[in-house]
Amino acid sequence: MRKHLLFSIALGLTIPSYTFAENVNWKTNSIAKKAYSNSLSVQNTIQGLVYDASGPLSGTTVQVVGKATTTVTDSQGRYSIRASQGETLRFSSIGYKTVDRLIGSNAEVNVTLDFDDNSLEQVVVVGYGAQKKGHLTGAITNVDVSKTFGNRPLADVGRGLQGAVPGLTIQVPSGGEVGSDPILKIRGQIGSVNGSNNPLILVDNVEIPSLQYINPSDVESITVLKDAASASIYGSKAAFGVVLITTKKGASTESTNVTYSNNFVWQSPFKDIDIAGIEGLEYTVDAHENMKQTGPAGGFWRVDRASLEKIREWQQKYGGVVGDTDPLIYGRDWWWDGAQKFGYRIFDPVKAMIKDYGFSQIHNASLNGKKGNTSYNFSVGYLGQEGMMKPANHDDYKRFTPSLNITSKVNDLITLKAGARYSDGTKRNPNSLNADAFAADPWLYLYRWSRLFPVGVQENGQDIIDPVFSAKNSHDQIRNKKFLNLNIGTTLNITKDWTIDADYAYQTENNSETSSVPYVQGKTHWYGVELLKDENGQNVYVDENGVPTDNGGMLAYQFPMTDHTVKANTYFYQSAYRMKKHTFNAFSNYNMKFDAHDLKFMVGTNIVAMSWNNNFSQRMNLINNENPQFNFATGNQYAGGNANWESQAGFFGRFNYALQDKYLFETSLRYDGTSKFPTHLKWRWYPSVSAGWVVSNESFMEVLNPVLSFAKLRASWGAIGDQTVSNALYVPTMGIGTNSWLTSSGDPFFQMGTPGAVDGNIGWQNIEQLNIGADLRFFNNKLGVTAEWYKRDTRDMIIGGRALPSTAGTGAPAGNYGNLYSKGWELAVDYTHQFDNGLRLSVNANVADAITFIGKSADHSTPWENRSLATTYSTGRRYGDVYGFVTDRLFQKEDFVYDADGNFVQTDIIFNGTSKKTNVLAGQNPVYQTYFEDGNQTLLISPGDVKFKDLNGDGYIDAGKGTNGDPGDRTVIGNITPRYDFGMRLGADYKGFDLSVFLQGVGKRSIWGSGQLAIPGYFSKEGAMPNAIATDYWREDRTDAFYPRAWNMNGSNEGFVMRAQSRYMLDMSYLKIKNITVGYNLPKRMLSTASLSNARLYITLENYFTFDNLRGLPIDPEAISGVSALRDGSSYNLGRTGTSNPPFKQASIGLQIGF
Amino acid sequence: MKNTFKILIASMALSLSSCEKFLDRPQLTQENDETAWTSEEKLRLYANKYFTSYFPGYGNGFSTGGAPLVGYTNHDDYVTQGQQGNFTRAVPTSSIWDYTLVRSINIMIERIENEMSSILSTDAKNHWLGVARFYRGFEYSDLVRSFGDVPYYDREIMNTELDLLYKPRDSRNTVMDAVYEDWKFSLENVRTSDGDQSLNRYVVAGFISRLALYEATWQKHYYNNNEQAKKFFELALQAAEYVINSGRYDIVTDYRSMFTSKELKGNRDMILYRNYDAAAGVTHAIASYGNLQESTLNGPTADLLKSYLLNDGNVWQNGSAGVRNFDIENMIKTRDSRFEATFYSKPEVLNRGSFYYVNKFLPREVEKAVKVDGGTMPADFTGDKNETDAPVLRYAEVLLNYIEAKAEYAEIGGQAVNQGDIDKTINKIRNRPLAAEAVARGVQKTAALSLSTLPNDPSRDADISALIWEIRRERRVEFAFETSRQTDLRRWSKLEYMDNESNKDLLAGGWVNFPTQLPSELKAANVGILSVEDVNGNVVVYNGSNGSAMVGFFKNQNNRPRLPFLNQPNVNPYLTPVGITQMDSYAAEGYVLKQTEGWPQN
Repeated sequence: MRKHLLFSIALGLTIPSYTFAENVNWKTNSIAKKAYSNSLSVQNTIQGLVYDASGPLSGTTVQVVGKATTTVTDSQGRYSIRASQGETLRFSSIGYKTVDRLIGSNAEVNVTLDFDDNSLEQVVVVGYGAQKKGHLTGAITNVDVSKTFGNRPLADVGRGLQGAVPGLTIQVPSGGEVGSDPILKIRGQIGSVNGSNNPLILVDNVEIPSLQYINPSDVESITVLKDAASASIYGSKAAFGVVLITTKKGASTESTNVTYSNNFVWQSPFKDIDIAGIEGLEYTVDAHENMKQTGPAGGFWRVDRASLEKIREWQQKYGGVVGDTDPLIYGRDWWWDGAQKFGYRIFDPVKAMIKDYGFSQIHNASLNGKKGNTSYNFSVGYLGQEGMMKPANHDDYKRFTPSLNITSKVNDLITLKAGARYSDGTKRNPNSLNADAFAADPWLYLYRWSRLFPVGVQENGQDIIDPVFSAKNSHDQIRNKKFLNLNIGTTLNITKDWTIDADYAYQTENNSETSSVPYVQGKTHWYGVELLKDENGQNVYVDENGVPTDNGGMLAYQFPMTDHTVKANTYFYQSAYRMKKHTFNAFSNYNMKFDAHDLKFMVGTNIVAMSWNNNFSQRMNLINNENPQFNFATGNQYAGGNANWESQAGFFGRFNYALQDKYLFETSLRYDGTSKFPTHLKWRWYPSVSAGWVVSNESFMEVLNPVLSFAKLRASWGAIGDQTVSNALYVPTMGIGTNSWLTSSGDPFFQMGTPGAVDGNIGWQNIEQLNIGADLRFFNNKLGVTAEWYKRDTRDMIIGGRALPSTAGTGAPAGNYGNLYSKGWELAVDYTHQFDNGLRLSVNANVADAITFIGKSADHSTPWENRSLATTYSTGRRYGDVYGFVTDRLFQKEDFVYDADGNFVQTDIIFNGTSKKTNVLAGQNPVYQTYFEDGNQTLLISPGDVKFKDLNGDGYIDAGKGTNGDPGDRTVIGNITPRYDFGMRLGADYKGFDLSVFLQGVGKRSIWGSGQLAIPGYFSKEGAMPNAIATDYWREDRTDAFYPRAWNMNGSNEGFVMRAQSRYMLDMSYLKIKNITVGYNLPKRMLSTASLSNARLYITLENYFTFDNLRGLPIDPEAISGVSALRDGSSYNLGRTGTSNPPFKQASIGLQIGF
Repeated sequence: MKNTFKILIASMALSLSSCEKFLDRPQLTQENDETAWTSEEKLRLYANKYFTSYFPGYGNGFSTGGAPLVGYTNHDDYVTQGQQGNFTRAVPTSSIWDYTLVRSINIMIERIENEMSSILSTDAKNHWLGVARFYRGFEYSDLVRSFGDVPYYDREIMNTELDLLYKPRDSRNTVMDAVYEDWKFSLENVRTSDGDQSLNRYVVAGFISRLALYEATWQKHYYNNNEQAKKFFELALQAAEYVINSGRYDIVTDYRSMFTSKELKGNRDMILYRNYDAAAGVTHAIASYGNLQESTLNGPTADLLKSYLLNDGNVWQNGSAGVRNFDIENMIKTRDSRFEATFYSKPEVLNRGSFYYVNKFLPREVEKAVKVDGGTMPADFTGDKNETDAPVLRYAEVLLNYIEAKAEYAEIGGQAVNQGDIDKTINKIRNRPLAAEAVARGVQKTAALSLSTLPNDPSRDADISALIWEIRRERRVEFAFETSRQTDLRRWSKLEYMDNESNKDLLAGGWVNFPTQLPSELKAANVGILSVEDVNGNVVVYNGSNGSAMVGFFKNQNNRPRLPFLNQPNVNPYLTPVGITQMDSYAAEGYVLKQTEGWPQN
């Protein structure tokens, strides 16, 4: 039915167009007539120079209007062409405004072309072809690469695109981790529960596995296809949008151009990392007392009121005298009372662990040109980046990216193309000494323990185990990724209007990882202590300054030397991953043009086959710490590996029709097959259709010109299949692995898993998207506005089936049962103005929003009121919503009732059948919060605790049943997805100087944080916390504090009154001035003496200014808890917010020269 | 041009026709339900995963689920500094049984029967069915011990069979009758030997002696269903006799060494043990939790310390004045040898709950190296790096299961216990070798138990016969700080022993002579907190000046008793309630999930 309808619409748009054609005085017709009338005139050779603002412009097409005669300018911008007086020469070049010149008597015609970012004639790369910008009907954003990337010290294309494309959300979750991939999402954070949800990233029509494999300086153009109609031609992996990257090709005119550019970068943490000192210890003691606990507070290192006093005394006495790295001395710095230890000295883990300055550099060189019928582009890029871990042997990323593109025109029919692209990147970082390495690496420990924990110091000449020790003694974990892409292809120009392209690409990825754990001993202070002995084996006695005494004094202790790693657990490990992929694309374009009709036909095929395998080997008991190798390990050895493969095939066709540049229509159809599903569900058809109407070309709109110089309305609808899921979903697999049950000789048993419950009919997830857009330009094209609205439906989404009772013994089998939908809008504005004095200003700004709702999920058969708030994918829920209480304020002393002795008056409150003794609240109808209490006088609402709002008005605060129908006093208090992403670039240039400022941000995002940097009192026993918390919690002398009275949550993100609630949500919205660049182009006359064609100097500040709403917490607002390049999933450093390599800001200088 | 067309069309046609094969790319490296049931080797792999589910030993890494010392700390052997462990006192929001293993085992049984008949020999088929049915019985007996009545399934239930998935609970006896049949089958069909560290008939019989005894005593004491009790007493006796009569096992290892040995291979006290090896990456943390460097809040109660017999076989009350006192040095010399083997020899502040430190899981040589020689703790006794092997099923337990089953059964019609039964069980255990270090400290073996002269214990529970009282004492002492104490109290219907109100000794710890043994504790911070209790329960609180009076069972005045759990309306500490969420979700689907006995439906 739907297809039938579409067909009718298509007919409706095509048929009437012929009737229009009769009435229109079509431009080309009139020009053709004119050209004919002039054809008898005398022909001359016209010659001249074409310039742009910076000098001669090569590659400009010069055409005699109405004739086939064309030529292009050479590398000096010269041209010569045969033409007659009275004819018109048309000068056109991509990215410039086209200029027409009537030929007069003068045989020399020189022109200067102006830049035109928004030329409607500009050709934009689209799926398997190109399209005039004016003819686009889908939601397509073409990125001005040279301006967006500029001379920024960019590690990858993703970081460069952040904020540049409305609807393309880019998050850098662990910005300080060099060599990490940013997360790209087009139009919403989630498109399906099981699929990849990631955009398809294509480089010259071939998918690449990681953005780190592309040198940003090799990129010629980037087009982002956002709606289904424009992406659908790419089929099975394009369901969530496409990022089309094309690389630089050879020159179009005979020339040889050499360019070189670089950046030298100094980097430092972009934000103060302010970890509490004595204030944090006070918090710990306060929490201990508030919780009515016995004995001193703190964990491995104790702290109580008396020791706090000693800590203050120490500061008075030794602060500034004892240096950060001076040795630890018993008696002066710490004290053992027989069962536990107290510290007096405060250490600075931040200073010990984080570099003040890191250094990075980028170099790019390229050779570009054309000789005869062959044009080429050869480039080499080098990136060397440092991370911020100070004591690490290595914390860096290096990448080498050569690439070559050659095009050779064999004859008029055949053009051959070949290319090679290589990337060799190596990331080195300390391999954590912990058994489960990156579940908790040295960064976590920097932020974990109180500042009584010795850091970066020795005791009696020996190292103490601490994060500095771990970082320093860890061997490097070395991850190397080698990517090679080889492609050959041909273009057959069968006629002027008919081409056939065939390309084959072969890709390999060869990744390796090497790591080892050495045998390390250090002094440990987690366990007991031992007596300090002198060289004669006699006990040492010291005074309170730690100075040994001959008589009197106290018995001195020291920390025992222990094995930090057990010898048998030391190892050398290597793993390798090999991937190869074959991609074959063949397509044929046929363009037809008659009268006012522009028609384009395209058919093609796209076939992809990929396979990978991996293996690892490990040998235990390393006997050589300095040179970790298999041959220097003598213990047990382990090996393992895996392999998988997949393939997709698609056949597609597209038809474009444009009438008078006014009525635009496009439709495509694709037949897709995949290896991921059972045989009877492998193949499926996917149609799409779109149309546009250039309103401004209608005669009735002419009155608005030039205020409204251009207006196009467009709409599209398309369907795409998604198959980015595992090929095992419909198979009850039974994995084989090792078991921790050992034979008597110590070898592990192997085991085979239980088959899951599966649905044998799992097929394509179907994504449909409706897009409505408008492109408007005002004031002679100076101001442009593009607006989009869309709705994307994921139908037949693969989700877990209807929830089963636990008697089933397994989760409900997944199937194509669900759906979800995203809605959003995008707005982009650009403005350019050039003053008469040559000063040019430009502004580009964009903002976008997307929200996703779960239409149908596993709980759809449960009535709405019984659906659990804890279910992420609950039917009808908005994705990412966080439910919690609404904070009213903090309780103050006057909120309670006291007896004559000033003690709390207590009463029994019965709520939900449970009676608890609690403090009486003052006032009429007080709202009791006994829900949070233990009824045992410890968890007892007191002054300084959080007072919540009674949302349901029942006179009590509670969490209800945790369902939609009974949420208690909880409601939606935030959403974890980034919303209102925005970006803005301001540019100015004047006489060789240019300035650009780039801002990027997120308007709204909030999370309930995790861990000690985010949750007040998260683990006050362990002790580390941000100063922002330690100096702003409720005390009797600080009743206007932001945070409640001190509490120890004992490692939980929620507990007592610190439940997910409105006031303590982390507001992760931000505005970052991502980049400021000041550049200067040296004048031509200076260059010619140095035989340079151009030279440019620039200074950039990257990520330099951040405005956030985190109240001084040392967390990057871009952070995603537990996400890091160092560990898959979201469990890096126990999933705690902000505990990774600190993100940095960069200042760089650079030079770009061309020969 | 025409040719180009032809080539294009031909290649498209070609690729379409070969596409089906091109797109046929199934999983490369995983077995699945269609391919897995083709050899005994694969079947063995399938069954291997149950080892760690049912035999956790000392756990794995820092996870101590199912492990002794730290896994089970809520009972009358433990006093905790601060709040004592509580029972569930209200219906929880969410709580329900887990049927993952039931399903997994049912699949194994179904596939053996339906798909492997022609692959396995009859002997092999019956062995593996026996293995699966043993585990299934193990699983269901765990489920009923927790929840009472539970739904019973003997096959995989598909997700479409909603009426079955939501079916009402079957009665405990229905379930256990089926379990009885499973175990009977296992006892006859599991191989007597099936390779190193694998399940065999002796292991199966040993566990059945435990689990059947549990069921039998529960039936006798909680349900008062003597018929059902008899059935399981007989099964327990049959299983235990099978192990005992095999002659494969013996009591030959000194007490502490069983828990601290790095190599239990070939140890005749072990019917099953779990091997740990750092080289294989399988280690535990149990030794570290008692390594005399880790502090702990949990320690022995005065109640437990009083239950150790004098080594003349009598109770402390009946000893001479010099012998009966609880000073730790005297206890070492005069009490049952297991006292010395279980605790550190001096009061130790690292045990904040009791000042008696449990070092049952720390080798004597490590203790000596660290505490006597002043050396550094070996790394493999810190953190989760421990490599000592874990006893999973000790022969001593089968002996105690046997004698308990026999004595309990005798009260409801079974054969009477004779001295020979006592000699081959309790007395055999009491005759266990002593460690040389223990002998050096003056430790002696405990005198044999004689049926004719059972100790006259003034503190005996009047409900219990003197013989069964002594059998239970033997069990408590033998398994102190292992895993079974609370379960034992449940099946005896004696959770009242954990009631702090009726037994003041549960809040007191070890006997300490503070002025001489721990003078450092007599400090200002302990005024009003530290107190001691004499053998009669009289308490003296430290006031800052009565230090010399601080001799007795240590009692921390901040210790808070368990909240009431006995005779509370709508609270049944013996069985686990199901959660509100689960009852609601049954109701939402149109079914009823009945609340556990003794708990309210809503």
